[in-house]
Amino acid sequence: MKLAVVVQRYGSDVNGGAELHARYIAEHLAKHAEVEVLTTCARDYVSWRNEFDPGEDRVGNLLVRRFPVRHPRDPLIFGRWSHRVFEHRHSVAHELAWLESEGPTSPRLIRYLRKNASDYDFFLFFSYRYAHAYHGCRAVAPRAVLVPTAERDPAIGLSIFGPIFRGVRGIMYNSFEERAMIQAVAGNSNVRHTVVGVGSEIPSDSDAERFRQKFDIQQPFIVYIGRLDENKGCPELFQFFRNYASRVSGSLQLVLIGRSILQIPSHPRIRHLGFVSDQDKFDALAAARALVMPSNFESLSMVALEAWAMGRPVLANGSCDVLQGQCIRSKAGLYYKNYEEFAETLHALETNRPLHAALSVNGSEYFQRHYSWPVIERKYLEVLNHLKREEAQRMEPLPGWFHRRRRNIAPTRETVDALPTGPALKFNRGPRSGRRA
Amino acid sequence: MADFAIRSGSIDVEEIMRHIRKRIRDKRGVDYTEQEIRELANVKLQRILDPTGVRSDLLKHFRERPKTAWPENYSFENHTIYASTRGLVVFVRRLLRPVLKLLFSPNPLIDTLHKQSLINSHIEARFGAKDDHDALSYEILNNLVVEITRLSIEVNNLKMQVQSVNSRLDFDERRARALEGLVNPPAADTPTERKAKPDAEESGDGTSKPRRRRRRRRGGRRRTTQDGEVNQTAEAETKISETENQEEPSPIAETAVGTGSDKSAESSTEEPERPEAATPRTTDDGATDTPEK
Repeated sequence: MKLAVVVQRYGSDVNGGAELHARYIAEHLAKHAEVEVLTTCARDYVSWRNEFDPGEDRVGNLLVRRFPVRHPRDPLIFGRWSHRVFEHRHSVAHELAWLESEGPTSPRLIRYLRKNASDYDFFLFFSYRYAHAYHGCRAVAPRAVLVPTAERDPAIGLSIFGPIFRGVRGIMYNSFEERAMIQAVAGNSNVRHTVVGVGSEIPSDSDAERFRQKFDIQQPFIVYIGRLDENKGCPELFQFFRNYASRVSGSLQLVLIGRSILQIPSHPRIRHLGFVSDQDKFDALAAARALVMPSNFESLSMVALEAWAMGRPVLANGSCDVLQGQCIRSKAGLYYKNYEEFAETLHALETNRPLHAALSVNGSEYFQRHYSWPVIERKYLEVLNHLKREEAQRMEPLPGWFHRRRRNIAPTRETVDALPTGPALKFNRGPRSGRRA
Repeated sequence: MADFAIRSGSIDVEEIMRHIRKRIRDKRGVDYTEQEIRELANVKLQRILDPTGVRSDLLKHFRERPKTAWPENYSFENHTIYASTRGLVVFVRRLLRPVLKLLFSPNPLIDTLHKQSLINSHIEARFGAKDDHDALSYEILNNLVVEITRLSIEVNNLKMQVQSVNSRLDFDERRARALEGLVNPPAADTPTERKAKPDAEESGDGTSKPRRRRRRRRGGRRRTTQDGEVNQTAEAETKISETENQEEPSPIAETAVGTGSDKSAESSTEEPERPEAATPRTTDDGATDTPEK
């Protein structure tokens, strides 16, 4: 079987959530099939500037074909189109203009897909919301498998993505909540799919003491790992933790790991370590009392899975359906929706040792049962083998010139607000994978 | 949080979260979310805020205040009165301008209108700044109303807590009295009391007598005599000292004591005992309130 992983950015130093997800999947599927990576020359997800050389490259053992991006993203234009389609009535043409302004637009990549479609059995497209995935899925629909990595943001309500979700051959969801959301917005329950997620490389030699000595942290702490960004809920976390530290005596610290694009408050119990190596990250998890995930929007928190793999409970933002659902299903994390809940749950994790121990054990078991690599690889191969035996159907075409310009689409924010919310807890009752009707 | 019963594998995160939310509700009385507080501030202002004198529809009035609509300002320059979109007209006007100036002087008119245009721009800018201030004032007012609402709720909760503490205090006092009754049964019901009364009448002493009697009783009689009343008291004290050694009672046992009669208090082996209840209490004047022989 020959597979192509099509992703917006790719490289050993590209660490975005979906990009890392794509790299892990490509590297692990390479054990079972011939895998190539098709991507752009961009390294930065904000500007999409061409930073890598176009052409063939090798990352690890994989062949990577890079294609140039036609134009970098203009944040002003993108912001204007976003406002237009998210907040006002608009047309399909407006949505396509939004997609063009978001990027990364690479006509050469799409031409390559069209021309060489027959050389590959399947194309795994990552991140539904980018131009490469939209045009790529349309170009090779009979061989397209989508890994949407969708979050609950207004982009999911854009009407142009409905035909994509309904027209690809298969969908690999990250979580039950993501599946429920996409099926509610696109009505695509008959498309073959599975909820799979992604595994992680957990080192066996992580050492809590090494981390404590290296960074001189002797007190117990909770850790946040990821980009320190407003969109990730970090300001709220800082506020809550400062309140907690001022009201609850103790020595619990908050350790922050990751690049910051906002100001970290100066507080004796908040430590920012910046970007650290993978070894330090896992050492930090081994030393931490718990991982805190304050993000409102996640399609799958890889770092939460890593924390569970390391036997650490997770304290998650309950406003994020996916995180809440994962905490409940795994029985390995608590969640909060306001300061009072944050304080109570954090205090429980800090002081209640039996609870902490039980959550830790459950987390470890949950990771092994659902997110160990053999399980992930098996799920991917099962879906691909099924698809090989099934007939492909035609994707709905784009509407005509006049229809595309009719402003009859409601603001997408309204569409998304109308979607069902909350964790998808009845996952055991439904079929494990759908089948095309 | 120490009251979770955790067994590995049997943990239910939803149950734990329900428990945590219940604790939060119990702590603050009523479970208002931030959103609910805002809704209360917007909807139920009259009920909540009238006592403080804030107009309930103040925010609504402020929000609905009509915005000033400004007509577009004009610019007035030297050539404005001669300007036209048609080149020919402009040319003719330029030719005839000396004739026009013979009839009247347009320059003061042009100057005045030009200045007026500048004044208009200035005033528009000033009013624009005022609108910004108004928006800020609205924000402050809104925050004040929300905060006042929050404080009103908190005051209500605190009142409820004070009431709760009061009732607990009353309950404790009643319980103390019940325990005292356990140690010293009502005089009319016991034969020893009937026996004691004539003695007291016979002695005819003043208030200092019981004090002397108490000393005497504590010093010698208890050790030496086999009197029925002393035996009964000693028995009760033994019972109390036994229960003192038992664990803290559950809230259910406390309720049984509070609502039951003295008899039921006697029968309850789970009865919590206070150290001061185990010894005979003295009244303010120093005399024991135990009936004496």
